[in-house]
Amino acid sequence: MVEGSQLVSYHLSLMTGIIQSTSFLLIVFSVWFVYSVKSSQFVISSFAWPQNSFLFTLTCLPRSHQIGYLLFTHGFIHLPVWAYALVTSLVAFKQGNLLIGIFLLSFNFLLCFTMSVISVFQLNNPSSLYRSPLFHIQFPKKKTLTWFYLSFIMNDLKLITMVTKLFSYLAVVGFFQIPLDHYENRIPFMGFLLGLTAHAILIFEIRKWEDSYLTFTKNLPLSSIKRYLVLALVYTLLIIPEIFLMIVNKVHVVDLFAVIIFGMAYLLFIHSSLYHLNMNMDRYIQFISITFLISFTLILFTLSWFLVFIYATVSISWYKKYFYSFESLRL
Amino acid sequence: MLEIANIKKEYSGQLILSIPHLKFTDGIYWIKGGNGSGKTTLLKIMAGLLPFEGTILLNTSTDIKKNPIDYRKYVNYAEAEPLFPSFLTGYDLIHLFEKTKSASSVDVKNLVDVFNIQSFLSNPIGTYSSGMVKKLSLVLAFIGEPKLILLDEPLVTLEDHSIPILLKLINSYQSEKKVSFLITSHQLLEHDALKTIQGVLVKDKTVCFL
Repeated sequence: MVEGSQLVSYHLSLMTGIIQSTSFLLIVFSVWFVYSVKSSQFVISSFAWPQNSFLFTLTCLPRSHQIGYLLFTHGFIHLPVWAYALVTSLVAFKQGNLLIGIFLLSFNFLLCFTMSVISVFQLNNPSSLYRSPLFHIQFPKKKTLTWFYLSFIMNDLKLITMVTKLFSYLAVVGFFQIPLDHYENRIPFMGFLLGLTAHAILIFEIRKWEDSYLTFTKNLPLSSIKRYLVLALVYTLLIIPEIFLMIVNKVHVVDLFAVIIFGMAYLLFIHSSLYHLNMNMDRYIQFISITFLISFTLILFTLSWFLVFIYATVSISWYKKYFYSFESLRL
Repeated sequence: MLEIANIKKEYSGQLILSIPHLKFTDGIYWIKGGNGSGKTTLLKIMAGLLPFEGTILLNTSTDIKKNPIDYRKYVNYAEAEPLFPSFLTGYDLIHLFEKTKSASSVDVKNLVDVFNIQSFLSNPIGTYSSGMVKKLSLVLAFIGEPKLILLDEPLVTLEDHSIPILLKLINSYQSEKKVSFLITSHQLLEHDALKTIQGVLVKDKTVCFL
């Protein structure tokens, strides 16, 4: 991880690399191109949503005006790239590489302009909208149930996820700021516990979504253990940023392994508790508070593995018990 | 084919269905009944979507509670008003069903062709009309090697020219693959189109043959 004091010099060296190395420049161009394609895919797919049908009134305007509006839109989405490209160009100008500086800006303008023209074409040819290759870029080709959950988190819970992750990040970093003269393995657990507890709303939303949109999966021949493992994978992937933070803060390998298992088991425990609590928010908040207090106390007494065992055992048994027998009150 | 015994279903303490015993042999059944009589609840129970008291046996040995995976492999279900995540595409769901129901991709492709839905399968479901979602759910219900297919109001929102296609498919699955069907419908199921359809009535919180 780059120290705060070295951040400017780090980016300056990156920019110098872009200016002086052709292969590095090509890599950066490829990344910017992929970003443009993805943002264009987003713009084009947004035309297809029923709530955005009013956008088709833009077709009443002359083409040049349409391209102007879409250029502004693409330029705005492209803003992070523009910022970096602009500073890199200024560095290039200062280093006397006038051509590279102009080339960097022209390339980005060309990207935005091309994507605007494509978007305008799609807007004026709605029948070709669904056939657009940009619209159909799918990754992965065959999505698994795990991917369904991840897509939901990334599509519908963007804001909740960002706020949760920010709080979780601050909680973990905050605990690592405690000045100690020796390595203390309870610190990552305590910080992580606070961060994981912040995931309660996210998990509640996931459970709500399961009850509304994934009921059809109850008819699929999948064992409850398989479904439980899907959730385990989802939650393990969800805590990757915190795990990365632990690695950066030099948490010992054994503790790191324990922290990963702890995080996964804790989130599964909260998820399964919602079956037991019948999705009652009041009881859920009480449950989360009590669970946090008990967990924090047990971590203080270095009983983290005991906690992992309890979380895993109880969550599996609740999940197996309630998965088929749970009935949403809204039914 | 399907035997149900001592079925009881309550919502918030209120009895909705009580079926002492019922045995469905191979065939096509038309489940009739008024609004709120419990037709959808019955199908959802049979599909394994709702908890209930009692036993359901498929082919005398596969118990819905004791063998939940085997049972679900052979019983498919299409909802009256299917609800799928809007960001997924039709293909995402078809691939999931194809994999979990161990279906051959050739059969799946044939089903997609029969319902002529390939043109929109790559699009997010959020962009589908209700008729398109219905067709997708019907295709999903035929995927795999089912022994029983439960169709809840399959004709609702389906365009006129697709109805004979669906009825023909039901006929061919019954005669060639010996797949049984339990269908609820407020619309008339034409007897000419469907062979030997038997009536079932859901009334007064219980179910009986007509």
